[in-house]
Amino acid sequence: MKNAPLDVSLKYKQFDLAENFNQLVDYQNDKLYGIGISLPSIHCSSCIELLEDLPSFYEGILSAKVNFEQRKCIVTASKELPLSFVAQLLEDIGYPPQISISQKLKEAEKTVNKNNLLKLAVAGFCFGNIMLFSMPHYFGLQVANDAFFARLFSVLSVILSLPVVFYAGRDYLHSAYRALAAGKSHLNIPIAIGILSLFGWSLYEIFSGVGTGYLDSLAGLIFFLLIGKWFQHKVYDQVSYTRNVQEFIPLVVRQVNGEETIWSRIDELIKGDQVLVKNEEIIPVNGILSRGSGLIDYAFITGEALPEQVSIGEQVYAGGCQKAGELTVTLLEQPSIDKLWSTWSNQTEKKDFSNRWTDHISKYFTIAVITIATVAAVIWSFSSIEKALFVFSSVLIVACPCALALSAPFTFGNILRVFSANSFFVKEAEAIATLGDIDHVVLDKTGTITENKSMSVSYVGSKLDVATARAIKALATQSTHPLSNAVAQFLSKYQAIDSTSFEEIAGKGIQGEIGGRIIRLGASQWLTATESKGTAVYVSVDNEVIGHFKISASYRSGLQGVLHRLGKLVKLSILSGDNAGEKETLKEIFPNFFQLKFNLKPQQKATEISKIQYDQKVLMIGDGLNDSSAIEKGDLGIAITENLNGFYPGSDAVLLSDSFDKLPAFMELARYSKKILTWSLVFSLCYNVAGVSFAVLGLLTPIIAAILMPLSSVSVVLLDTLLVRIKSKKLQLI
Amino acid sequence: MKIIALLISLSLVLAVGFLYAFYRAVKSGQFDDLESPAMRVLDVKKSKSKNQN
Repeated sequence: MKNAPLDVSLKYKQFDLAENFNQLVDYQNDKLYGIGISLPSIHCSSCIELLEDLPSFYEGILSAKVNFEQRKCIVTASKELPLSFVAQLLEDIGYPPQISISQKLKEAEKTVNKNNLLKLAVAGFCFGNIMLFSMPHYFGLQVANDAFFARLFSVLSVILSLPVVFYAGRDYLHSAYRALAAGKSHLNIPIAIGILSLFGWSLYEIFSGVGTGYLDSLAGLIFFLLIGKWFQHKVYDQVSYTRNVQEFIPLVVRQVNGEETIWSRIDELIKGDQVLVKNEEIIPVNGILSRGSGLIDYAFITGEALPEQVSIGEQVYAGGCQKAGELTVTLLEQPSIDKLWSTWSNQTEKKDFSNRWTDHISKYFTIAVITIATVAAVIWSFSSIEKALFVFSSVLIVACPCALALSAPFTFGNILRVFSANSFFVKEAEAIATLGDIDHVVLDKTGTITENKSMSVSYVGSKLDVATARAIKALATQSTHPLSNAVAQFLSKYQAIDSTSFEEIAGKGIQGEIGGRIIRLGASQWLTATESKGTAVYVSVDNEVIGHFKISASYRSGLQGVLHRLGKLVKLSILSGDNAGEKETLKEIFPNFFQLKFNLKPQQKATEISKIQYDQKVLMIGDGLNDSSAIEKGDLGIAITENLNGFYPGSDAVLLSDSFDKLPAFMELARYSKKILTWSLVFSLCYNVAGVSFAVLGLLTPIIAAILMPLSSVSVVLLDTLLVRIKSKKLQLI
Repeated sequence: MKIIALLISLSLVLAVGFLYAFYRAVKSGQFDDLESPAMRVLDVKKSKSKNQN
C-alpha cells in the first residue's frame, strides 16, 4: 500500500508543533496517537462507511471510528504520519476538520457533565431504595415495629446513603472544605453544613436506637440538588456566552507583499511571511528581525523597563513595543492570536474594576444564613427535635445565593458577546460595569472623530524636489500618527529613502537625518513656522521651513447624531493636539461641549483628564498609539482604529471605526446592565427572604428546598439573558 | 415473614448490579453516540470482511 502524495495546506502545519500537538491529542505513546476530530460535514451513513474505511486505504492511520451524534471521528494514527497530514487527508476527501485547542477545552467540560449525570444516577438509585425502606415506617405497617426489620432497614439505609453523601454530594462537601481550609467563604458551605448535620443526626439516631433517622430526606435532597444542577447546565448551555472573545477578533497586520504592504488577517499568515511594524507599535508576531533596527520595549511582557537592542537576524517576540522606527519581521511560526491577547489582558492590573461585591456579600450571607438557621433550629427544638433539624437544613439550602453570584457574569458575558459582534472588543467583562458608570467622555480629534480614509492632502510652499520628497516620505512612513500616514499616502509615487536615523517626539513631530540634511516634519510651533489656518504638517530642511502639507479631514459620517446622543448621557469634551482651526465647526456640530481644548501635548491631555476625574468618571476615546497616555489615564480607555492591527497597551477596549456610530448604543447598554443587576439582586433577595421565612416557619421540607434552590438561579440567569437581548434589539445591536 | 429480608437483599444485589452495569456503560462511552452504531450495521464492506474471518 502506497500513500497518494498530499499537498498539506499551511494552515494545518501548526498542529505539528509539539506544544500544540500535545494539547490537541487525547492520548499518545512512542508509536501512535489518538485524537477526536470534529468533522461538521458528516451527514449520512455513507460518511461513516467512508471514514471508518480510512485505515484500509491510507497507510499510517490505524483506526477510525465515527461518532455521528457529535459529528466527530476518533482517529488513531502512527506517529510517522503527522497530524497535519491527517487533517489534510480529511479535507481532501470532503470533510474539512475543525481542530482547535479551545474546542478541546469545551470537550473537557462535557466530561464534567457526564460525571454529574453519573452522580445523579447513583443518587437517584439510592434515594429510591432508601425511600422503599422508609415506607413501612411512614405507613405505620406492622413490619416497621418488628425490631429485626427496623434494624435491617436502618442499616441498609445507612449503607445506601454512603454513596449519596460521599460520591454524589462530594462536590458540595469538597468545595466547602477547600474554602474553609483556605479561610474563605463559599456559597456551598451552608449546603455542606445542611447535608452533614442531617447525615450526622441520622447516624446518631439509628445507632443509638432513638429513631429511624432522616436518610430518605437526605438522599432526596442531594438527588434534587443534582437534578437542579443538571437542569442549570442545560439552561446555561442554551444561553451561554462566548468565553473566548479572541476567536472573533479580526486582527490584521501589515504584510509586506513584494513592493507594497497589504493588510492581512493574522490567522491567515504563514511561516516566512513578512510583517511590517511601525514606530511605537506592538509587534504582533514572533519572528526574526529582517529589516530595520530594533529597540524593543518588552515592559508589557517582562516588566523590564529598558528597551532591548535587537539587530537583524535576531529574534523578536510578540507583545514587544518597537521604539526605533519601522522594521520588518519574518515569521518563524504560525502566529497565534491567543498569545497576543494574553499579553494584552495580562498587563499589570492598573485599573480596579471593583465589581467583586459578590465575594463580600457571600461572606456575610453565609454567616447570616447559618445564624438564622441555628436560631430557628434552637427555637424549634423546644417543640420537636425532628422539626428543628428539618428547619435547620431547609434554611441552609433554600437560602443559597447562587443567583447572586451568577447574575453578574451572565449579564456581562452576554453584553460582551453583543459588543464583539459589533466590532467593539472589551478586554474584561468588568470593564462593562465601568462603562456604565462613565459620566464624562473625552474625545481626541484627528483619527477619532475625523476619518483617516477621507483625508485630502495638498502641499503649499516652495517646490519639492524629488530628493526632498523621498526624504519626507521616509520620515512620514516611520510614524503611526494619522497625519503622518496621510502625508506618506500623498507622496505615494515617491520611493522612500531607506533610513534608520530618526526620532519621533510625541506631540511635536518627527525628525531625522537623511542624505546629510536634517529634515523635520511636525507641528508649526515646533518648527517655529507661521501658522496657517486648518490642520497642517510643516516641513523644515536644515532648520528652514520650506512649506506645509495642508490636510483636511472630514468628520465621521453620523458624528452629529453620535455627539447629540452621547450628550444626553454624559458630558463631552474634545482634547486635541491640533490647532484650534476647527473649533467653530465643532461648536456648530455640537454646541454643548464641556471643554474644547487644542494644541495639547499627549501629557497635557492626561493632565486635563485627571482634572476632570476629580469628581467624574472619564472615558477617553482616542488613537491607540498617539493618545496612549491619555487612554491609560481615563477610568476607561477605548482605542479607536480603522484596522484592528494590534492591541494597544493601556486601553481597555478596542473599537473598530466602522462602529463609531454605535458608541451611544454601547454606553446605553452598559448603563442598562446596572439596572439588570439591581433587578436580579432584588429578585433573588425577595426569593431568598420568602424561602427562608417559609423554612423558618417549618413549612418547607429539605427536599422542597432543594427543588426551589436551583429554580431561583435558573430564573435569574434567564431573566438576565432575556433583558440583555431585549435591550440590544431595541438599540439595534443585534 | 423473615423471607422478606432475603428478598430485599437479593433485590438490592440485583439492583446494585444493574447500577454498576449502567455506570460501566456510561464510563465506557456507550451513551456517547446513539446513532452511528445503527448505521454501522449496514456497512456492506465490514460485514463481508467479518464473514470471511
